[in-house]
Amino acid sequence: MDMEKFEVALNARMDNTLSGPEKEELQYFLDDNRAARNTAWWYDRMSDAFQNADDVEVPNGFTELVMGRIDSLPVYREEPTGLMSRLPSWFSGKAAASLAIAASIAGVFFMSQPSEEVDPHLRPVIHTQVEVAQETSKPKYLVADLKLASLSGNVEILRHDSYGWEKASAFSVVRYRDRIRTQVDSTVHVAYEDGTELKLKPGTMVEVLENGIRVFHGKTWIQVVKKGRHFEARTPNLVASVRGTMYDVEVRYPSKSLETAIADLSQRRELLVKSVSPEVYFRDFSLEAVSELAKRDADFSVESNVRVFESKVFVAPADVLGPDDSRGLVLSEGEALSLNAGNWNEELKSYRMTRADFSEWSLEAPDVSGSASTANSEVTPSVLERRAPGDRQPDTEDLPQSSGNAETLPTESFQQFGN
Amino acid sequence: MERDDYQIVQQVLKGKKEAFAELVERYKKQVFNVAWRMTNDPEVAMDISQEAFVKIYRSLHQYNPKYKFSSWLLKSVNNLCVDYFRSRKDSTASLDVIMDAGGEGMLASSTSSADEYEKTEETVELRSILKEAIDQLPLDYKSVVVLRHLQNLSYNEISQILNLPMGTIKARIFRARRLLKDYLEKRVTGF
Repeated sequence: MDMEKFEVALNARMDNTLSGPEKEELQYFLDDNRAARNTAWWYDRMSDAFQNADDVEVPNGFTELVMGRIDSLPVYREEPTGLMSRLPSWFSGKAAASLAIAASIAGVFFMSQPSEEVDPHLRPVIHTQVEVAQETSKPKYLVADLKLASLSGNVEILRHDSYGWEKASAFSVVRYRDRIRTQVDSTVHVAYEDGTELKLKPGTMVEVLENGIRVFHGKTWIQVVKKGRHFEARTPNLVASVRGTMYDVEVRYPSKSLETAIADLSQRRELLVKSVSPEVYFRDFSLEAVSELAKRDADFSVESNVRVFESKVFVAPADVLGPDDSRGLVLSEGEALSLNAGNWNEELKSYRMTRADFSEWSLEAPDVSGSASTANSEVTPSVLERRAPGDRQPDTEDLPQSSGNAETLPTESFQQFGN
Repeated sequence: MERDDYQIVQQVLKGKKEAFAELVERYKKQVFNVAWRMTNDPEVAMDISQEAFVKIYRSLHQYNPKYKFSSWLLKSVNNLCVDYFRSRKDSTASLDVIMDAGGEGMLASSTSSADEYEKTEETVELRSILKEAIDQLPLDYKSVVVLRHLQNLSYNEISQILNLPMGTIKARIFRARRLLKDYLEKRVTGF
């Protein structure tokens, strides 16, 4: 028996799988070899220590905490086989109305969380009816009305209730509060049911919200259909709200990347990052989160840029108090805005907003296919036009609408993107 | 008479959500202990344990009674722990260094202090050193050690939980034990 074989035998002894002859052979070897005896002694001590290891008690209230979380999830139900399942599809009238009311009440429970993971056969029948009856009151975390199209490279999704990114495909179901990110040399075209489109350039991360998106970093082209949705693009420090227009939003971290800043802080253990990745910790990313980073990291700042290619966009700082109409302004076609936030002069919530005209904007086609950018903007900073408080509401309802058919995409490259 | 896990699962699938509490009660200690041993952080272990049960509830309709419910649950815990360590940059294990140094040389050089080591001191101290050593194991080794030695699971169960061939599990346990033995010896004797 050599030392390697001897160690294998020691392992077998720890597992109680040594046969009688093997035990004898091991004992002979131990008797003749002092180094082997020493090794065996340590294995035995290790075995003893394992056997004496105490279990840790679970903190009180654990079951209640878990069940509290589960309470907000859908209940499993067997598919009914009785009268209800045999009702014809044209069924209507008082019975249907009553069912809809009951469904509305039940919807509070059934629709508070996503449900596609539940086997369709086990889904409550009433759940389907709720989705029809409650169309106007969409709860959070439902499947978003969008599809991922024309994925190129490495595109990933972070589920709102998950810890890890998963690879996205054209068949991926996206829910509200899920995040989509594109890696280097990767792009994705997001198509909403009403025709609104997003194009995420490489190195971009957005969160899908019910009324728009939150851009964490990178650049996103947005084309919102006229007479379609009210659409907001939120960045850590501004909100750009629109209806029927085309624009892009870019979030940059001039001094260091968001990931680097968060990773630095978590490394220094100055930040409470519990069991989740730092970026998940900043799930509800806002200027407040930027401020938290900036407080600890003198280098940290964020810059958001908006450029309008068609119609108008209302832009307002998105600080912790929410959009402030007195600080917002309307950007018209061909205008760009840059908004910075950082810890200048120890004023964490301070911001700088500059407005600029850019020429030849039509050449700034979304470079989502990976070809070289044709960007050629000549930026001429101008003084921010401040509006008096109450002059307007941070809503786009009263924004002048663009003329012409907004369904028609104005730049050729934009049209070609999804092909 | 205690109901088996599958009976409870079926009840939950029939709409009796509260029955799931029985499964939580039944396995919370095991789940929490695995998470705690893996992360060495009670707060993180608490979060991971809760998340594991919630994830299991969400996919309960996919449960295959061919496998033990506890194995399925621990698989979820292990995956969450892996995600947790991936999200941390400091998860590199220092015991890799010992591994790279090779076992044979170390074995030959450490023939001295075993006899002098007092048995009376060993239990408490070795337990604490072992805990320290497990915490520093590379994640792949840590999983198998926690499941094998702290949860007393069989190789077959560990293979199911980690979704790895039995041979890989055996090899990992073998190497993990060697690393732990070397670490214990080095810490206690100073060699």
